[in-house]
Amino acid sequence: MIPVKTARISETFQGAAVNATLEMFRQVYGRELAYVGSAEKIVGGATQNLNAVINMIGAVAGTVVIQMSTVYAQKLTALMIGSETTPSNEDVHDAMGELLNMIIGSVKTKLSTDPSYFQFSLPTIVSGSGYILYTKAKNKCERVTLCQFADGNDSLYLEIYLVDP
Amino acid sequence: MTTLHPLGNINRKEPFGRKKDGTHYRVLVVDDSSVMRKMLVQILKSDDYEIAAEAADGAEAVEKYMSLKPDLVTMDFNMPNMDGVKALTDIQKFDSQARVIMLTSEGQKEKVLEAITSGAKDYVVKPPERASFLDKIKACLQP
Repeated sequence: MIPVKTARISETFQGAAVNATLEMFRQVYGRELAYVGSAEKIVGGATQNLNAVINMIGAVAGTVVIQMSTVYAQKLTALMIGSETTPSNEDVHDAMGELLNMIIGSVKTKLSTDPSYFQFSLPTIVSGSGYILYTKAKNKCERVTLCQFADGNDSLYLEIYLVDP
Repeated sequence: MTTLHPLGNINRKEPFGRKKDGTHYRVLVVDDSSVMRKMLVQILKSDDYEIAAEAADGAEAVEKYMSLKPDLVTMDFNMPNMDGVKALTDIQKFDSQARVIMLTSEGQKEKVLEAITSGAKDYVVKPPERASFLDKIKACLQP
């Protein structure tokens, strides 16, 4: 059960995060993503997944994770750097981190004009699936939503965890 | 699904990266992200600029600026070893006429004022939109 205050912040944050993701895909990759909606769980069960993780602290605190298959991440990275060959793992990881960094930066701007509204960490890349996210927050950190996007046959997920204020 | 052209329209206008004497403007691209550097290099080369060098942190940027004296620098803010503003300050001490454009993410615009005060000519928000990025580069290189 998500606490009421977290649920309120979540609605606003989720809307900003969805819009920021759609905008970033347009700007960085020239692709129109489709927002599928909130999902119960990640579908597909791919074992080769990549996740980028960013923590936030301030008026909004918590963690955002972007998740996609390694093959799709390679495809996006190739688009980003204009490469016709499969990019290196280093470039793919770097691109995932940059993408989430730009999404969270855009979310921050959408939510407030105050630069100190919240601060966010450098991205961390996690390879694989079935991980358990543990945040050592003072108050309970809940996964408030899992947003699903589609790009043709490829899927992309944005998991949002917020700390109960 | 609609696929647009990444980074904007490639055939926007005539390339500007070449000087009247036929040589190219030389740009030093500084960013700790390898993909961001590749993205910027791709945009700059498409407008006929020459990449003088790439640097992955501020210290490397200062060193390369001093040895290569490029016409322009694109500088990221957050980097390991030495951040973009410190590198900008050091470059300005070496060459007060240095032309540096800062790159920032949307959520970190508060650092822009400090950079402009320290001598940056302009700033660009990531991801750079090709046309406006090249317009700013061009404006910065005008005598």
